[in-house]
Amino acid sequence: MLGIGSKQQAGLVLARLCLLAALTGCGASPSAPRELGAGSVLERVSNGGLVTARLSATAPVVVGTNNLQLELTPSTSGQSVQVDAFSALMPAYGHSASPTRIEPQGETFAIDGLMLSMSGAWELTANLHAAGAPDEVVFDIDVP
Amino acid sequence: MIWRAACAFAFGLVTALYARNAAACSCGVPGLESALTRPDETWGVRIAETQSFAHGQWNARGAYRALGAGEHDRTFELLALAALRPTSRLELSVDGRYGERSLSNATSTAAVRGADDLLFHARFELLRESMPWAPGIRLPALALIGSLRAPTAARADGLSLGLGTWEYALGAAVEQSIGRFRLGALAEVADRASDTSLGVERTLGPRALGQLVAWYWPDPRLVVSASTSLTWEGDASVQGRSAPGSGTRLWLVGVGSSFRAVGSNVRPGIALRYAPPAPDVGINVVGGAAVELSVAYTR
Repeated sequence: MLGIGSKQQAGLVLARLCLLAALTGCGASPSAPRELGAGSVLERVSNGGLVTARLSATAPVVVGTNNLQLELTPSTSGQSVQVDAFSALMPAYGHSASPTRIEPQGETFAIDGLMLSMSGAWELTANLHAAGAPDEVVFDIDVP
Repeated sequence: MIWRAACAFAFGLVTALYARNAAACSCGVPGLESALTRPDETWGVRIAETQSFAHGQWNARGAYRALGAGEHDRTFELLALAALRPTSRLELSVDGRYGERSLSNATSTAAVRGADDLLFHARFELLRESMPWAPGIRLPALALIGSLRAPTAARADGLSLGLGTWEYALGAAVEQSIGRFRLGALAEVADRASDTSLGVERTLGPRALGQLVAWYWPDPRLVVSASTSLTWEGDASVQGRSAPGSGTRLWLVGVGSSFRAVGSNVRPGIALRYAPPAPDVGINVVGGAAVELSVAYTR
């Protein structure tokens, strides 16, 4: 049999677990990403600082197939920039997607046929080369 | 002994007079985080079939979107669970699932079929409920719960049936009988290991679950239940970078029932779960309804 001290300790542990569960159920993250609507633009500097990337869409990004435009401006003018791959990831569920086509159009790349399967936070990553060096840029978006 | 006697009553093994004071144990009610076997049993198996139908989804800001015409998100799952009770206070169990998830939207379809994650559970009955006539404060039953999820699930079409990584969970459950009713509360927290199942290093955020349950025995052979639960997951990180707003929150309500004839070892059951489609209730989750049919055999 447990003594009363052990019972009190067990109660304390349980109370802490309940409190944690209750507190963590509070509202949406204040850092939740933005939706990418028609005409809106998200701008990011690549992780290596080699390019500034601007992501836009002519139609709102929704659940289903989407077409995006990725404009890449090298930090040093005159450098060539190339998109090697583009991927979408919903990290909480392991959902992933790739576009069916990446088409260069000057400094802008058309990202077509990106199928997003669920509402919520997605991470879009472009793997690129700028002046021969690998780099990547990541956008967080909220799909309505 | 009190726990054992309470369980035995639920299935017709004690007198009706005692039944009015200490209803039963919650063992084996489908869809709830409870033990499969009673303390006086040594092993059990359970098979179940679950069908889930989504009605909508919540995004990262908690905005709800009902699925449109031509959209669906359905899951069908078969579960097999085996439990062993080496001592009256400890139940060890493992469950495996095989399922299929299919979804479609206005422009595409995707599906995945195969094994789900493998789950190992341990439940230790630390404190047994005080006898109704015992002097002093009546203490509830307290159980400690641990589980391990192994990443065995299938993945296809950019979808996964499982978590994709190892998960370690610890929790506690308290239960208290009040006449023919029994009330329970459960809290569980879980940590997930980093993984590369998506081709990049990913670390899922921690998970916390709170659940409240009420059971009622209109007859010693029949138990019905109602429950509500809130599950929260913290933001994930990808390649060491936190993915802001990627955490999830899901609120579920449920009802369940199971029946066990006097002297029988077989217990069929049904459970229904539902995610109410209200705004700001969920975050980054699919909301829907699920029905589970199950049959358990314990002895």
